[in-house]
Amino acid sequence: MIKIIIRQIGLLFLSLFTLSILTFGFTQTFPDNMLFNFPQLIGSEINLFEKYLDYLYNVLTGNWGTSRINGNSVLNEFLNHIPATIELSLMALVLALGIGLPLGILAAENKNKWQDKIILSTTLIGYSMPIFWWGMLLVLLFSLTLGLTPVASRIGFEYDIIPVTGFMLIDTLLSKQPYSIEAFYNAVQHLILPTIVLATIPLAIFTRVTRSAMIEVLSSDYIRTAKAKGLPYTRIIWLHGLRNAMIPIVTVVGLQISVLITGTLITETIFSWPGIGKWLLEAVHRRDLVTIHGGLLAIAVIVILTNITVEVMTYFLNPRIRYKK
Amino acid sequence: MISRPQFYQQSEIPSSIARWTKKFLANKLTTAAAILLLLIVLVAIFAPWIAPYDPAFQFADQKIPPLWSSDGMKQYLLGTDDLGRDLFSRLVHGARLSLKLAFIVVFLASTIGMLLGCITALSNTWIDQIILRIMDLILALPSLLLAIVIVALIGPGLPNAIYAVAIVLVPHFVLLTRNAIKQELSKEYITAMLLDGAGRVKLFTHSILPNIAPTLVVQLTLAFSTAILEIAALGFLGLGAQAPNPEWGTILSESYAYITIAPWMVTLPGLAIFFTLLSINLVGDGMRDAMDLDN
Amino acid sequence: MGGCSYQDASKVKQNVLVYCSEGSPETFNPQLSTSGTTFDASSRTIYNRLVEFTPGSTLLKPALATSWEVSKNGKEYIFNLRKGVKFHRNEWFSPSRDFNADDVIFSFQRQWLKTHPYHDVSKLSYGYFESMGLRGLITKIEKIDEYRVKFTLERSESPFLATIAMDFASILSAEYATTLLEKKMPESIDTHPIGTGPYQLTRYQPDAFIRYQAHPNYWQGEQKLKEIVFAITPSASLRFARMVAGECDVMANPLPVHINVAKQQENMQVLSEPGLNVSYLALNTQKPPFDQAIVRQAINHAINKESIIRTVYQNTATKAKGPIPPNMWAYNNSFPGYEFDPDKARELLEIAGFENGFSMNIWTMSAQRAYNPNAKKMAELIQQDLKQVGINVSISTFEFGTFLYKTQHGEHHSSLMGWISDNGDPDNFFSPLLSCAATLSGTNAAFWCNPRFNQLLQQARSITDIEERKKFYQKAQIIYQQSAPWVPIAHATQHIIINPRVKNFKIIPAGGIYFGDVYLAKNETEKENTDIDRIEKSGDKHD
Repeated sequence: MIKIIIRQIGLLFLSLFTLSILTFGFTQTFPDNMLFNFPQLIGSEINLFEKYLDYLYNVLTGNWGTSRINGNSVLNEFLNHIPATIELSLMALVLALGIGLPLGILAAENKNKWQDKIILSTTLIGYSMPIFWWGMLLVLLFSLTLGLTPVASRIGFEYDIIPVTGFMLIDTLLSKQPYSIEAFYNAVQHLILPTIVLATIPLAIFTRVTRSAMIEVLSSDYIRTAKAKGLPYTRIIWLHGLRNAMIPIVTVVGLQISVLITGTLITETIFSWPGIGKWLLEAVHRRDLVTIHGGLLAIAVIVILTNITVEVMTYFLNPRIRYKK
Repeated sequence: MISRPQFYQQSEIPSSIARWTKKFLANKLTTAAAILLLLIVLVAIFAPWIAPYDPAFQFADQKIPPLWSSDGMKQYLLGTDDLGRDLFSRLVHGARLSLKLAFIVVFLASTIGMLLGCITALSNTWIDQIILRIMDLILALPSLLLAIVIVALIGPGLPNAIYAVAIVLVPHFVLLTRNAIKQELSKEYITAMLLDGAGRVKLFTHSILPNIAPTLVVQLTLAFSTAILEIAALGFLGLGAQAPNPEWGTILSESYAYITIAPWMVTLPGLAIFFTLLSINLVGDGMRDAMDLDN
Repeated sequence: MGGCSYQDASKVKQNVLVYCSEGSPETFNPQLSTSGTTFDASSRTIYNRLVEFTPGSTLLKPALATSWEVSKNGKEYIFNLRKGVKFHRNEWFSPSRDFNADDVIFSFQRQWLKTHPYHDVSKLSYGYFESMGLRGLITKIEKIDEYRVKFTLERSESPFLATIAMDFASILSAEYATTLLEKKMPESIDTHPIGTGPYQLTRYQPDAFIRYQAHPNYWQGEQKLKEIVFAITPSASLRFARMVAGECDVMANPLPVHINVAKQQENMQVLSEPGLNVSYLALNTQKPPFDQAIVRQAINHAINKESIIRTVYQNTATKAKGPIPPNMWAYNNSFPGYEFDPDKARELLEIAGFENGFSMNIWTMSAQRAYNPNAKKMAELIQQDLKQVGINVSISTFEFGTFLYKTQHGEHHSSLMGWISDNGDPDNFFSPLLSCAATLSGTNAAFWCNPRFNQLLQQARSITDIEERKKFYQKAQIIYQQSAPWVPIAHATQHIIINPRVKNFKIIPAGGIYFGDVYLAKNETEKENTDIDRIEKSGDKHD
């Protein structure tokens, strides 16, 4: 057990080291006129190693430079934008899991029957959906034609919500304004379409993974034994089946963080959602390399940490590994 | 050829390709997808002959809806855009462009990827550890983000977008090749071949390549679909193909302004991307099932 | 498409005006910018100037200065300042005194004196102060007493009053500047502005929104409209979609195609006025082959402006012949302009030795401006036209800020630019765009410097008689015509789409937005459009 954790920590540091080398290389391409925004040692007498140490020191002490556009600290900008993205991604994750797991189980139970076939083809449709187009279609239908949902942003601009946590659903409720409940519902309405768009691809993936994991589990000896013992069917599926199918599912959910971030880049652009995806893309359009560097660094660290956490979690979930001495 | 008389009752073992084909064609959906994909590829190849007009030519008739609409005009099958360009011609040429770009991307990525895969599998030095670490990192990061960052560094435009998407796809091929080779090398027949004095190249072409071929083909299909999607996404974000290129993603982003006035300008290019991706994914899925690679 | 909206008829909405704006301001200090987006968000809401334009016209009226005296030789201006003008307050600053002469001196000296402690606080340059030539023009700024300031000029300059009515001459608080220097955060003066204007900034989230609140002690009385939100929405399509859904009350820079749709919608009203603007293709005269006038003339003949006006502007613009629009008094009516004539263009190219054509780039911006609804599309049309005469065009598109920054460095062959009048004076077109001084400050994107032309501009500036000035400008336009540093393309009509509940809104002919005296009609939409009302009510039930 301890061995495994030590090994994971070692891997973590190795990954972070590789990352730092790559991002350091990235900063070396900055033109000289950006030194104002991104402090670096310069001069021919300073070797690359010293520059690298200086870079590492800056990054670790939170000195990520300032945006070339508005002069704000990149780290602060990132921290200001990340709650919007986390809020949206969490909702999408909940939606994808909430629908994906039952669908996957349903498909597995009815393997090769019509239910399975319909679910499988639907997932493939979801998986093949170019989400930038999907988002436009939804806006055209639900916002512009039917008038059911708002077009863009996190909340109606008439509500003045002071950011406390950065999560709109919480901030509206914390707000001392007389309209805080009304604002909360408004924020929920604003979340609907972006959540659907962002959840589409993970939903397709979760359904497929749950299906194949469940099929494997359901064909195993202990399930057959449980059936033979006459345990109630739902109990078999949901308790014994799902619990054992959880390992591959958790791994895949962990890997979806990459897919979600890719999705936020596009979803936030379409819905003018003020999160890191939109922030980074604006920076790309303005060629604000300092901001791009900061965004890339932060996202990479988040992805690496999530992957390691998932790895450790699967060890805990897997009794065969857990009890191995 | 005269058919050979059969004197003995033989049970001929069909080749694996024949087996796979049979299994693949048994699924109607995948067969349909394969036909659709074939059609799209044919359209792409013969685009200049299929498209009725030059995709960049601007007619005086602007924002004409498609033929099936009551305001449609018979000379413009799918209508025209805001500059009066024939949408059908643009989409047909877009198919050619998208497929060509995706092909270049996959070719670059797979060649580089397999080369690096072989190097890391067959040599055991610190270099392959470094390559592997970098590949792991690229694999972990969101692919579109990475492509965007690369484009931001080297500047927007088509060639750069191709490099960016190719770089992002490389690690899949490296790890695939490396793992397959490692797995094969540990098998006894390889040891036997090595003892017989077979060279590394011969080893690779004769025993390893045929064994990883099925996985590789599926991986190529997946990479092809990823490449199309990602090039379109870059185009949509204004970082890939630049107007007036009839690239699907670029057309889509240009058409957004007309979403309330000329919705067909938005729906049609999207449908083109969607059906292309769907057919490739269905074919890939079908191949995986046929080759029993479900893992 | 229905005119309905998901919005409930919330009470909150009745007090807040949402303006869907086209971009984030570069700064909140109008001294540091030349972009209309920044002025909308700063000088027109937060600040006042000594003299100002009457909203909706180019006539001057007293503002922070109640009156002024000009000496006989036209070189000395004494301004009598208004008493009892209160500044805004924020978390770091509460004003201890009213507006006075120190604030005027601070605001001008910051831009004028290179040794001023605030001169280099921001990395941005004082674009207008430099390009309007105030550095060389002003010789002295003196405080006579608390409420009187004297400006001494190098020479008599007729557009001076109009110049200091411009956005960059907004008055900042000297006391706030001192406070910030003590706190060692001088750069905050540009990000957390304190002014005397009708609205004060309450919160800004870059790329998302700007919130303003009415200034309770505004010297013209507190505004009826208590809150304004600028919803930053760079995509015109999205802005229009928000307008359709009722999320915006006022929409900046609608696309021409939106105008036609909006006219048929019940919850939208279109306001139009001929604009004081020009959009043009600046040919970089420093870069071969555009250093030859004959090549520039050829390009002028090769571009089909009618087709651009039809396609890009949907006929909501007039064809441009020269740098200034025809509704200006200095316009030269006898001006022939260059007719669309590809054969003539090929002929001229042949004379210049380019019978096989050449390759060039056109730089455009992704943002849509009041004078150019779609620069990318325009570039594509020009690309087509130039192909006909054998010129290969590549198009590069940049985000607006980057675009301005990069064109200032002059690496382009040609660039699709535009200009909106700031003060209605013809000098405001010629000097910033075509004078030699402007090649240094970067607003002269053609980098064209003609000594004779420049001299005419200076002569026209030194006299006040309009008929006399007109003669100089007409001569200048002929020189411009022969040398052809630009391809002038169109003068766009100004459009704004508003929700009918927005009352008393006026279009500024020069472009931009001004919310002074605007108010929202309470329940007006319900009275006017019972249909919408019904749909909104039924929408309520779904919520």
